[in-house]
Amino acid sequence: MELDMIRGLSSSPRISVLKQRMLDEPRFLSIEQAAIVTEYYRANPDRPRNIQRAESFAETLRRIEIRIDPLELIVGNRTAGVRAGVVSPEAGISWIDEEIERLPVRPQDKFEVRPEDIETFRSDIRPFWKGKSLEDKVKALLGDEIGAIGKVAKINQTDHSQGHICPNTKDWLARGPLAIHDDFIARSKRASKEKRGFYLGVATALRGAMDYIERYAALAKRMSETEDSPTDRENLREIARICAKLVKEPPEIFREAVQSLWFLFVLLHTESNASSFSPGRADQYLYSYYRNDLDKGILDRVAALEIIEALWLKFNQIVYLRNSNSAKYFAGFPIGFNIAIGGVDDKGKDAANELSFLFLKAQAHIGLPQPNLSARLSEQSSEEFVRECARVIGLGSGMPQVFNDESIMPALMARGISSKDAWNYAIVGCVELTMHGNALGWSDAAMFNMVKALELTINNGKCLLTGKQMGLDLGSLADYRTYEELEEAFRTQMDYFIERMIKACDRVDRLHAEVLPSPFLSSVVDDCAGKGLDVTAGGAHYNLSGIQAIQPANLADCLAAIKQCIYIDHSVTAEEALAAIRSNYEGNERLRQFLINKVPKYGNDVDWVDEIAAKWVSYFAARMAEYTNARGGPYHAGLYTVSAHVPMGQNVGASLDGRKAKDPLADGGMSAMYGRDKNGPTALLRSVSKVHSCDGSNGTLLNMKFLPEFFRTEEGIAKFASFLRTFVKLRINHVQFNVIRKEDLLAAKSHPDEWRSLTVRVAGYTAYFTELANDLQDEIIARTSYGEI
Amino acid sequence: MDGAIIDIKRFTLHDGPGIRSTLFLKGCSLRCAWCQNPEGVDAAINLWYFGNQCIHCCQCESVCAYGALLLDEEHEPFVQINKSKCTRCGACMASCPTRALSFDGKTISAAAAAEALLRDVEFYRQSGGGITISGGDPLVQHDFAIEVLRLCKKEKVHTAVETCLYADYEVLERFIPVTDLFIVDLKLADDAMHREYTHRSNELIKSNYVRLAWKKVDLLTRIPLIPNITATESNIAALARFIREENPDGRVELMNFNPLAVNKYVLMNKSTEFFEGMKPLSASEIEELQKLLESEGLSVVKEHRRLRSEGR
Ligand code: SF4
Ligand code: SF4
Ligand code: SF4
Repeated sequence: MELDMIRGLSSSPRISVLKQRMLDEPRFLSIEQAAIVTEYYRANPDRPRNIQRAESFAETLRRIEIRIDPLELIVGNRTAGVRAGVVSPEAGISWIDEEIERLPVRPQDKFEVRPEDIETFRSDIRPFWKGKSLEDKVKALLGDEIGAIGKVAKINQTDHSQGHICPNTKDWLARGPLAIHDDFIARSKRASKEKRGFYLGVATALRGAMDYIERYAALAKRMSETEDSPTDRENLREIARICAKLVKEPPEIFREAVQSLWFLFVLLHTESNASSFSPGRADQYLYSYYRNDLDKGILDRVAALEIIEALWLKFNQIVYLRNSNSAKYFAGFPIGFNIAIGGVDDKGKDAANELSFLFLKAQAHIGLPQPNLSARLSEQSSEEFVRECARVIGLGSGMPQVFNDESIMPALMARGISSKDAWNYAIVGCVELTMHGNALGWSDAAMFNMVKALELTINNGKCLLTGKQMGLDLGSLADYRTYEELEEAFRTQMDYFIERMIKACDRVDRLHAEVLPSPFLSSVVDDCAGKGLDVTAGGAHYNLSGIQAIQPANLADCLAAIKQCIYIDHSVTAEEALAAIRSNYEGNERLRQFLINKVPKYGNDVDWVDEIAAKWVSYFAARMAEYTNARGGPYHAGLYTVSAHVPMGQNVGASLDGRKAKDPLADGGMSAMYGRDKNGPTALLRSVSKVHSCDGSNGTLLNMKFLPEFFRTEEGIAKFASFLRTFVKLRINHVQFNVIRKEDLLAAKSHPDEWRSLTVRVAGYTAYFTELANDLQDEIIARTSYGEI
Repeated sequence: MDGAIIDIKRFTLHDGPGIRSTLFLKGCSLRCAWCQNPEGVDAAINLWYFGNQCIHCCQCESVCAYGALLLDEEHEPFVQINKSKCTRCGACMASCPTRALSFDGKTISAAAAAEALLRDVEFYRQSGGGITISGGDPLVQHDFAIEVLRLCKKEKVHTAVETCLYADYEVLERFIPVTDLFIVDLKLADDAMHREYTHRSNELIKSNYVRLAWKKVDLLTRIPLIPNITATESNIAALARFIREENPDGRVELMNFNPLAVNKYVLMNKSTEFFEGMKPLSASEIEELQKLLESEGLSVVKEHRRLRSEGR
């Protein structure tokens, strides 16, 4: 490997210009696709849903405005403007109706809105979809139930398509859309009557895809005819050639393969308008194209890096429009183009190659929120690779985040994943684990707030914030005579909500199959073709559902306080504790401080406290394993919140870990409550390692913050690399790092204009710091940071 | 065997190679005017009051059975400790909801200390790190320190000792079999100044240094840079000559003054007069002094580190 050469590469002026242009372009709400789709449905009300989806998708691809910048090496976007907020009426738009005027001024994820679009939306689009969208159907069927259990079990995927899939890009590149199309046509001829429609729907969608790529070929050709600059003209001709080829044939050279990959993801986003279609192990499946070109002498590393960086910019041009509530949970419009580099190959050997290093280099240069770059580390990882990861982490863009093959592969196998698919795992979205090209993981089915469940357990099933009867009345803290009795009641309370949550999740899942079949997506997920089933109906080889257990740190801290103070040393009475949390510690700051300072906390390597977290996470994971989802696959548990710890915390009253009512919960998923881990990063990692990694097979998230000083010297980088290696040894699934000084964050907060491209790790993804809402900014500033100055 | 310790700190990065944990022992034979860990000097464990953390809940006064605590609404500090009455029973500290009332150390067994130090053993193995015993000065509680080192060595962990070398050589010698790296402080070459600023002569320190160097132990020499006192050209040059003569292959590291320590003096109600106007040296000033060392042929560790002062 030419590592020294790669390390010395710099970014090209072309890339800097493109990057600046992209960042300077305002973000708009876009209803173009919504208008086309609505027009289609109006004219074709009676076709089967999958055909409607395929035809309206194809229609969009034939009509949507497209644009090419003559400097671009890789082209294509789902709107002519960059970073547009695309409206998707089939999934749910009632919130847009309510919020459209406020989109430009809301606290999180602002979008400009054209006045004429508001008009069209209100007169044409919104009325047609009333009662027909996924959201409306969910509301009609489940609205009350979702509201009733929402503070404990938040049901997700109720108003948008699923996404969170790592398609089989390798196969897409190997065959190209035409061959896949022909395969589906051939299958349709052999298929039974009820399956024929599925195959034809997919073929229709692919036809649209090919027409779309063709349009880019034509546009590039037209532009080249009038382009004055010879280099740009040459570039446009090359784009025209590549696009024309990709309509019919699979790519052969590296640039073609990258262009083809990008078209695939634009198409997936156009069909589903969902978060998190992830390319997965692109360093693996693109490698042969890269290597061949190098060997033939038609590509050098400088040119390869430029192509990669062009793709990196593209990943930042698609964002995801969320309602303001969801934008609070997933701030900074993460779209989850997750790329997993390194890891092991099918023989268990280190799989990192030159592309892995070039991807790191591109990340170091571009430093934007997308792609979400993830490094898979294992015992086999080379020292060069680990150090290069450390170096890029030290630059502060929050990437790559780090995943651990040694713990994740066994965790997946424990869920019934074959070893062949487990070694080839990838990540979708933020930190969700997936198999490559053959799974619908439904990784964010719901979030289960264990801290709220505990609140109800110690307060007669009543919500501390509203006084409403929300859960089972099993007694109050004063009624449980022993800690074990309390635990028993807690278990009963959890079970009660788990049961209701799973029922709701199943019904939402079925509604997706009914309302939002995804024919194009089904063409690139294994087994859909063989089974003759849409991916939403269980066509994928693996069909999981993931539910997040939230938040082990607060739960452990609360239970530790209860156990120690009330049941062991009797330093606090149950009555006093109850009175304190009922009054939000009003007039009893002494007790609050006592609970904070005199009870050991999760994250400090105190075994008995950490084990409380491990115990309940295990309990939750075991309960999940008992259920089968609507697509016939297992439920499993995840341990991440993305940024939902803030709104989730708003649902919880004062808690016995000393947290005040409505304050955020611990961030991330595995992290300690901020400011409560006082024994440094090694102790935190050891605490986290006590939670069984198998219990977080849907994905786990640990945030750590280091100071930039740590990475200043080669010695520091080496120490950090060994820190990462110990993380691998400790069998923790995931960790990610924010490397930035507190002073810089404070400066960025007060002078956002000067810090526009500053990115920080929020929770499983990277966002522009200045685009985060105030409370999230404060929260990030408050996280504990390590490294001596 | 029990010892009095200040604290165990994990993930220390500047007390030897790799990722480490450091045990800070109480007690020191010197009394450096600039001591960065003043709570470490006294071998006894004392109760301290840190007003910045006190929430004025008044709990402590009623808990003390010996009448050793007095609350004073009018004057600072709010809680006054009568040291002669305090039996160090710890009752007030247990009931204090914050860390405002704290002992400056605790007594633990060598086995418990070793166990705590060894918790991060995976990190040491991956990074080539280990454990360090510092202080105060580890030579004061030498039996305890040696026992802890022995227990860690048994687990094949790299060990380091950070010391000012003020003890009989026989004591120091017993450390050699259980210590992989000696990090030793040399402060002032001039004995009169040494006496003035540390209350002790440097004769013993120098002779220990020489004998340790003869033994060919792994030796890292550190010089604290205290503006206008140790950080003068003449002092550094004199120390450099001494080191070159006795330990020509040795590495030397200059540790910059750390103003954070002053805060501790404030919290402990000690006079801060000594520190008035004192600032860390600039990078260029340090480089000048490093050049001085190099001109004597010494190999210099160039990290621009500051003296440690564990903040509260
Ligand atoms: S040798 Fe170190 S611990 Fe002892 S008094 Fe001097 S500075 Fe303080
Ligand atoms: S340690 Fe004991 S004797 Fe001393 S002040 Fe506290 S309670 Fe009183
Ligand atoms: S118990 Fe602690 S917080 Fe309360 S007055 Fe005494 S020192 Fe202050």
